[in-house]
Amino acid sequence: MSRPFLPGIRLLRIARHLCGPRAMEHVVHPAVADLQHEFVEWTDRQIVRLTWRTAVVLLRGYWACWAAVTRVWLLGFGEPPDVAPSAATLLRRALGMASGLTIVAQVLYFIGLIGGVGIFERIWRQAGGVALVEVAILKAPSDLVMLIAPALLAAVLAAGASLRQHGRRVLVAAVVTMVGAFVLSAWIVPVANDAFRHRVAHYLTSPAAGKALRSGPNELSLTELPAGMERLYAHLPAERRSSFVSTELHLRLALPAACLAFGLLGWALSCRVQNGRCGALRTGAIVLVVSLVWLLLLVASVHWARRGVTPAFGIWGANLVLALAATAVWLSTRRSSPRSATG
Amino acid sequence: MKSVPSLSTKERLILELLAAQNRMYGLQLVAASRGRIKRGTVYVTLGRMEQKGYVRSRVETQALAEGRLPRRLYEPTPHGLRVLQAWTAVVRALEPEHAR
Repeated sequence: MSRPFLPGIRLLRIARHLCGPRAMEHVVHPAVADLQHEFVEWTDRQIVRLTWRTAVVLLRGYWACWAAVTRVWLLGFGEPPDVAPSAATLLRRALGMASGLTIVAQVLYFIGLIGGVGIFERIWRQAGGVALVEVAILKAPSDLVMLIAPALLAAVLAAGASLRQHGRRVLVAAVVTMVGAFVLSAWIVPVANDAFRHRVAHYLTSPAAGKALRSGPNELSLTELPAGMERLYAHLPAERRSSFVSTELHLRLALPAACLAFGLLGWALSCRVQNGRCGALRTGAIVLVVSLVWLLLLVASVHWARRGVTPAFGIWGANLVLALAATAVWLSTRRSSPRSATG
Repeated sequence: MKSVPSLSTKERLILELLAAQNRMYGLQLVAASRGRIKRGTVYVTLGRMEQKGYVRSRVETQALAEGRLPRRLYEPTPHGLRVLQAWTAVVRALEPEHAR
């Protein structure tokens, strides 16, 4: 009797994209082999009464296989170090991840989870879905600039132990990302922010209201910033005005510089990975925690600097904390295994 | 400094089962453990044990139906057996008096 199918073939095809070669050989193949073995054993009996039992065998086998694949994908499986990715590959991966996350952020923004439902409902009602897409695209650079540094950290962690001897590649990728993020935050984001506000005002009220909007600090490019802010805060005392301007200037420079701090921390952490990659869950958790700590420090320091409680250069403190953490991790790794953490 | 070999509860159980039977498939280990080892985790644990040098494996060589994957057969290594022996001795030595 010819068997209708052999289970696990499609599962193997999907697993190949999620697991490395060693995990495929030692985890996924044996799990699928067990599933096929059990299935063949039951179908060989050719007893109609046992059909439900075959279904149970299949369900149990597939459950076990998917549990194994998910576990390996999330936690990693000591893959032998791959060829270390080049600086260009790291950069490409980081930009790819940042773009993907930006799209997710825009989708969330769209459905009103972050931005507030009312504004989007009104734009939808007055100008339709195409206008909403236009508004979301104009908003995207602001999100992208915040996500580039965490995405670089994720890209470096994902490369894991293979980068242990290639600190220079991470440094090159981090410096190039920093320069790109600088151009983005200094010129592209302010222009996009300005256009975003004008379009929203245009759709919500009238074209005239859009044109009448004055530019705030987020809508001024780096070259326009000092003069623009002086004009904007002319009513404030000179001391307060000066702390506002210098806070904004330091922020524009510290944000891109975070790419360097995130990249170095990523490399120091990847040196600690015994073998292979970090695993999606561990990478995600590290990126989330590091980004949250950095963001909290940054927001607090901006808040204090604007009120003149701390000098504006305190904004660099968030980056400094990450750089110190990277140094501490690297030193402790080097102490525990002197040959493993060399750049 | 070379790290001391360690043995988790599951690894110890697998080594005990393999030491008793000598050679077993993953699914046989799951059945013999009576629910203490899950099917979804047995190969991850076995893979890690192989990396540590506690067990070795080979794929079955018998002729299989077209397209079927060969199963993997596991056996303990002398190092794995020594670690199990030492671990059992340590655990026994550290047991409280009344438990002996």
